[in-house]
This record gives sequence, C-alpha cells and structure tokens, in this order.
Amino acid sequence: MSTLHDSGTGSTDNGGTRTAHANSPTRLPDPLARFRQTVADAPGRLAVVDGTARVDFAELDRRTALVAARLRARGVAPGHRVGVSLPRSAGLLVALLAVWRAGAAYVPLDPAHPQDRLASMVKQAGVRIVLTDPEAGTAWPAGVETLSLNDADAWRSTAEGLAGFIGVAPADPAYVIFTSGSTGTPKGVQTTRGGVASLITGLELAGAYDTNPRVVAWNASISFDASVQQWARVCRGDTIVIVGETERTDPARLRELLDTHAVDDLDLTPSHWEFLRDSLLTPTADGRILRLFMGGEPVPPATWQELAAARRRGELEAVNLYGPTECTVDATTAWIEGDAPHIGRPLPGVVARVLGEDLTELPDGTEGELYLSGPGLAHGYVGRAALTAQRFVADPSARGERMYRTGDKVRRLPDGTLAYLGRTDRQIKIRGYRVEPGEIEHTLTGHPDIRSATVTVHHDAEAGDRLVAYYVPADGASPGPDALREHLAAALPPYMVPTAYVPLDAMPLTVNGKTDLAALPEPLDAVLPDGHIAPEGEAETLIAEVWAEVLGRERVGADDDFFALGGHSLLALRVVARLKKRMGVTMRVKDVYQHPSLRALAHHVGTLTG
Amino acid sequence: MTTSPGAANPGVPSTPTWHLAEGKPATTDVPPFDTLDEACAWLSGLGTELRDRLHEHGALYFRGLPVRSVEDFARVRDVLVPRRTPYREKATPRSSFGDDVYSSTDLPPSQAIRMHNENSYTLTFPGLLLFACLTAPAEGGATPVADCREVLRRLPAGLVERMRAHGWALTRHYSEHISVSWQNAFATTDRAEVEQYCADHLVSCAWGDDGTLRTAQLRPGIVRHPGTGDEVWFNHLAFWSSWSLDDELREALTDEFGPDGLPFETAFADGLPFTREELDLVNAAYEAATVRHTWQTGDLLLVDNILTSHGRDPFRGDRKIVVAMGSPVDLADCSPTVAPAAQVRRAAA
Repeated sequence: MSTLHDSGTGSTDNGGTRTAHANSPTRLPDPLARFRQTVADAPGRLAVVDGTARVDFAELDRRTALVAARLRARGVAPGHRVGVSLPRSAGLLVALLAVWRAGAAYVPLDPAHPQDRLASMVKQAGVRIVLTDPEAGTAWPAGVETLSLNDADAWRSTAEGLAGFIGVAPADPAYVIFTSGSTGTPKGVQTTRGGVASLITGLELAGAYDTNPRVVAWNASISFDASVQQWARVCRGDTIVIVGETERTDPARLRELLDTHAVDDLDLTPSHWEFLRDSLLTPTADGRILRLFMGGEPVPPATWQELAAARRRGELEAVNLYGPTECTVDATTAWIEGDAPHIGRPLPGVVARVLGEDLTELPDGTEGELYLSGPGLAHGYVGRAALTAQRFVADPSARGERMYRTGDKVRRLPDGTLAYLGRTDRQIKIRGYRVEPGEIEHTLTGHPDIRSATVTVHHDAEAGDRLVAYYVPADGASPGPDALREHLAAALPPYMVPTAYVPLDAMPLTVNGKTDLAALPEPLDAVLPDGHIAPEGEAETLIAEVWAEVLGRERVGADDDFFALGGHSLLALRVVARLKKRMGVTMRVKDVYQHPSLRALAHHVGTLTG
Repeated sequence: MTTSPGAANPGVPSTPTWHLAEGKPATTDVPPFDTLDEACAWLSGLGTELRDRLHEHGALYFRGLPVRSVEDFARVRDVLVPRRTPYREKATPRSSFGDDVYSSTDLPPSQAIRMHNENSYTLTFPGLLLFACLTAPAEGGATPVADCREVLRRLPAGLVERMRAHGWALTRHYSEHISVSWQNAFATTDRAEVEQYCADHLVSCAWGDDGTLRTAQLRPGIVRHPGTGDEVWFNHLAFWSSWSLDDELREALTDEFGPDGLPFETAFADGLPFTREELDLVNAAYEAATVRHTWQTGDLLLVDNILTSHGRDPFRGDRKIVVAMGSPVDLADCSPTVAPAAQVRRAAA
C-alpha cells in the first residue's frame, strides 16, 4: 500500500511511498519553550498592541508569570482545564499564556452563548476555575470559581516562587474547543501541546509563517481554533495586534489599524473577504505586502482567481488553510495561485490519506474521504469515548497509530495537491461556523409541539447561506416560527438558529426510509399583503422594525430598498444608531448605502456579528 | 380702502390692505383676477408700496393669486424679484425646476427646518426670497417667518454682545453620503475651482486624504439692513449647531465622523463653545417672534431675507413649495460689526 501525504518540502523515499514526519522521534519545542527563548533573546521587542497599550516581551513574561502563579496557587496543574471568558485583548493573551504556563489547558467560554450551553461546556470539560472579568455579569454554574486578571495585588502576593514554567509533555492538553455535535450536545475537542508545537513548526516549514518576526492581526474569537494560529505566534516572537470588534467589522477602520501598526499577516474567511476586498486591495503606503490567511470555509473560484491576480500584481499574497479542529487548526496549506481552488498539500508532520469506504487507499484522481494523522491529532472529544472512537480510527498502515476521519470528500490532483469536494455527512458551514444540523434538529424536536424536524442550509445568491428548519408538528399543534426561534435561541448560539421555518404534513422519505433531503420543498418566503416578502429571522425582523420606524411606515418587506422607500443619509444614520443600540452591531452609513435591500443589509449584519 | 387715480382697472383697488393678526404675517387678500397677466400688472403697479410695507413688516403674504405652475411663478418672480441670485455654497438638497426656480427644500416631510436667513454665511446673499405654494400639504408644512429685529430685541444682552464683538464661526465637513457633497455644493468636480472659490470668498478649506473637504469661515452675526438701517440677528448659529440635532442623530454623526468631523458645526467666534442652554435662548427668541400661515394653493410669500428669517414646519401629504431668490446684497453694505474672515479660532471642546 502506498501512503500518500506530505508537503512539497518533504522527502520521498525510494519505494515511491511519500513519507511524512508524522512519527518522527524528533521532539518539537513546546510553544512556551519558544516563548521563553523569545523573552530571553528580545525582551524589548513589542509582543502585543492593544489600542494604545503596548506590551513588550519582558512585560508580557512578567504579567503571565503572575497569573500563572495565581493559578498554581489554586491547585491548577498539567492536565487541568481552566475556563477563559474574556474579550480579545492583551489581557486575554496573558490569560491564555498563563494557563499554558501553569501546565493546564484552556477552555474558551464565550459569554454570548446561552446559559445552558455554557453550563454544559463547563460540566463536560470539568472546568472549576474561570479567568474572567467579574463585571461582565455572566452567571457561572455553582462550584465554579472566577478569577479576575484585574486583581493585580492579589496576583503579586502569590507570585513568589511560583513564577517558573511548568514542564509539560507533548501529550498534555493545550485547549478544549467546542464544536457543534450531531446528537444535540456540543462536543469539546481536546488538543495537545505537541499538536500546537507541530502546527507552528508545520506552518513555518511550509513558508506560511515567515522566517522573520512578523506583525500579526488577532481577529478570531478564541472559540474558533483559527485563533490559535494567530495568538500563539507570540511564542515564536511575532508581534500580535489586537483587532477589536469595531475594527473587525469596519473595513476602513481595519485598514487604518493594519497600516498604523504595519500589520503583515491577517486571517480571513472567504465570506469576510467579500466585505473587505476594496479596503484590502489598496496598496500599503510603506510598500509592505499583506499576507492573508484564508480559512474556515472553501475559497470560491472567483475569490481564488481574484486573490491569485492580486498576488501576480504584487499587491498581496494569500495562503489557503484547511483543517478540522480535531487536527489542531490546519492540516493542509496552499498558496493561492493559478485558476482553480484547492487545499494544497499536508503541512510537514501531517499525513493525509484519501481512502475508500473500506479504508483502502484510492488511486490519485479518485474521489474519497480524507483521513489525517500525525502529532496534530487531538486526544478526541472530552468525556465522549464512543464518539471519539467513531471519528478517531485505527490507522491500518501504522501499528498503534490513530487517524481522524474528516468527513471531507477530496481528490488528489496530478500535482499532488488536494481538491476539496464537500462533505460525506451533513455537517455544514455557515459563515465559517461548523454546524451539525443534527444538533439543531435534536433541540427542535425537544419542543413539545414538534414531532420531527430536518434542518438544511439554503443557498441564496443575494442574502447568502441561511439555515432552514422543516418540521412536522405534533398532533393538533401548530407552533409559529417565533415560538420555535425562541426555543432554539435559548439553547443554541445565534449562528445555529435557522431563519426560515417550513411546516410539513410529513417528512419526505427515500426508499431506505431516511429523510429525502433532495425532496424538501424550497423555503417559500412568506408574502406580505403588499406583495413584498416578509422579513425572516432575528436580524431581518429587527432591521425591518427600525426601517419602519425611521421611514414612518407600517411595515417593510425583506426585498424592500431603503432608498426607494424614501431613505436618505440622515435616516441611514438613525438606522445605524438604532441597530447599534438594539443589536450591538457597529456599522457605518456607507454600509447602508452598499446594502440597500433589507435582506442584503441583514446578511451584512450577519457577517459582522458572526 | 383707497383707490389709486392711476389704476389700470377702475374696479380693482390698487393699494392692498394688510391684515395684521396675532401670530400671522402681514397678509393681503388679492383681488380676484381672471388671468395671471392682470395679476402681474396689478403687482407691478404697486410701485414703492410693496417695498415700504416689506421694510415695515419684514415679510408679506399674498393670498389668492392665480399662480398654479412653475411658469406662473417665474412670471410673478420677474415682477417682484427682478434681479436673480444663484444658490451657492449649497446647504440643503433642492431640485431645480429651471429658470432659477427651486424646490424650497427636498428634505423629508417629518423634519422641521429651523429658522435661518438664507446664505447668512456667504459674502453676498439674496435680499429677497419669494415662495409660492403650488400644492398645499394635507397637514402642517407652513413656512414660518420671524422678524429678526424682534429676535435681536428678545435675546439676552450677553449673547448679543458676544455676537457683536466676535461674530460666529461655521465649519463644514463634506463627505460622500451625508448632506450635500462638495461637488454639488460648489457645482464643480474640480478641486482647484473649489479652492479658488474659497480663496475668493473668505472660506478656509482643507482636503482629507479620503476625498472629504473641510471648510471654515468666520462671519458677523449681527448686521444692519442697508435700506432701513435696522439692526438684525442674521446668522446660522442655531440652525447648524450640533445641539439642534436630536440626541440620536448627534451621537450617530459623532460616531460616524468624530466630534470634530460633523457635517456642520457652529460656535461663537470668541473660541468658546455654543452651549445647549444658549441654543435654547436663541430658539426661544426666534419662537417668540415667529408668525405663520397654513399654505393654500396660489399663496405667495415675499420675504426680506435680511429683516426676516424663515423655516419650515414638518408636514404630511404632498407639498410643492417653490422658491426664487434675488436682489443680491453684499455683506459689506450691511455694516457688519466684525469683518468676515476665512480663519476661525478653534472652539474649545
């Protein structure tokens, strides 16, 4: 059997079998060992920029030591899991490094998630301590201790003698990130310190991380594992620039931030590129070439070609990154060049196999499922042994090793790169978020008025992708969309709540008795008395309310145009002001002009809040 | 009622009677004319009577003229306001109906427009404004006027003294989507032409790197009418103060442009800010001097732009009010208490 995998820089042995560094005995340096080295080599280098605050490596080391000491004083040790619930900031960077410094793994706990979901995550991950801002007002389950970073004096008093670095093994856990689970409960993927070390080294060897220290924008939520490839770069001596929510969602301000701090590297999802294109295609004043790290969802052909053309013109360079959370952020990488999108080659250290249903190797050019192995492989799902065994299977080619079954369909192209062809299961990506429809369906059927439910993603050219829930009501019941939406919002994060709800008399079934997804009707938009389409979902409904208010109209349709209804710049300002107040979304008047239809504006708001 | 010996039509009184009712502008019910020609002949036969009454009352309201179209209005305008002025340094969206006739404003119905003297911020401004109602709105929409001699009398002495001593400052920030663009305001796409205009008209200007334009100018806010010698409150201080915006709009604009980047901002030119409390005092003075009529189709309002400020009430329904401006007056002929200047001292925040 030939083992297909490897990066372009990897070795090829004589037998035609491309071998990776997967089982290489060489131990990669732990991220914190590299951090310690950076502190020693360049204590005065800028480590993190957060607004007007600038912290050098010596200071970051000092602050991290204090927090780590406090954690150790509380009994935190290798193998433990510490919750982190803080906004993106220099303080968050201190918290994450400190958890690692104490030898433990961090668990991102986004306060925007519903209470029940947070409680479930805390319970599953066995979190007893949460680093948070007590002012944020999140209610944590009983027995959870919260620690504030701001309590500087308390930190200092325990710092003596505990400031050192705790030795960890590559197999010690690094973080637990929760993703959607098909059985109705989010599942926590536990990765390892060795996996993070392998990620950093892999990206360096692949050339995605530059040899020299760079200035890196940190714009991803820590609930997203893409954040790891941003913030953890501080360990190798890069400077991290915090991108606040305002800058993240405002192209002009983001651009200003990038230029002010001479940022070199920026992560984006392809959806986000649509929004930032104009701003990012403007050449930099200082002549530096911005490098974009595209990830989270497949790069559409048009975007690929656009980025490739920009690279040819020398305006920017872009790298496509692919990888499931279960394999520590990234598994394959490709420079965005040429005509057609692909996910490139495995990172050094990663073994990628294209297998058939019987786990046999498929010839190049054949469509199969992608299996990944190497030091980046996660431990599995915390507290979910059966599920872990299902997805992390024994590698038939290597005794004692495991491989992760990605559920991604791929084909190896003649040049050895991999083309992404979609999912083998029903997992979907919505605005970069990985969603299991099963989890939404499970929650939906928990409503007493629902007998059965199916959730799919519907592609709409204008409004973008949206989730559609099909349901068969219980006998005699006729639940309305608002009630269902409310029920789901109480249990699921906002991006998992469908926008459209379609009642059915019965689910269409295939001959095998499974739900026939292809036979589900197109979601028909409810039509208003004036012939316009009724707004759907939280964002559209709220925006429609605001438009109706400022335009002095009784109702507004999803297909209405703000300016055709008499909107103008001052009213657009009022829209911006009211949406800021009610949805917490920061927009500029320009956004209202660029998205004149209600549905387009709602979709845009979705990209800002997603 | 008297009859003029020289009247063309012996059956028609040549001198109108002016009714002065509480809260109303000086108003005359126009004798019934069959044709616009007859009406125009009557108006032109009034001679200095109209000028004298206008100096006395500041604004004159004609009810019952056979004016139904833009063309009709242009003919009456040619009689009453023979010397036209173009609309410069535009500050409000207007539609041009041709022949120097404009919509009074295209701002939306629900928005009230505060009291102001047209172009008080330019070095030359129209001496006369003529409004006519071609379509009366279902509700509201009057063009209120206030005698600015009265406004000046009603203002606290402290405010009057500050204005007399220092004048007022206007800063404008032209950007893509808000209010009037610089291209529209200056009727050119050529930056050099804008710079030339500003240099010629005592306006300082600076371009932003994002294609925006910021201008500033210092103007006297109290002037004398060149014909009557009356002293008047003549400025846009209250009109464009950010305190005149409701809180939501002021905060949204500040979010969008920053506190120094508002589309319009005013201050006393003594470098001290114009406060919300001071705005209330100025508005109270305007309010006490304000009179108005509900528009009826065919109504005409002749305004002496120096003696009288005007505004617009919010309205509902269709409304078509047209306006023409004329008889330009130079600021230099109005005995300004401070010299106009391009540079303004920056108001303390």
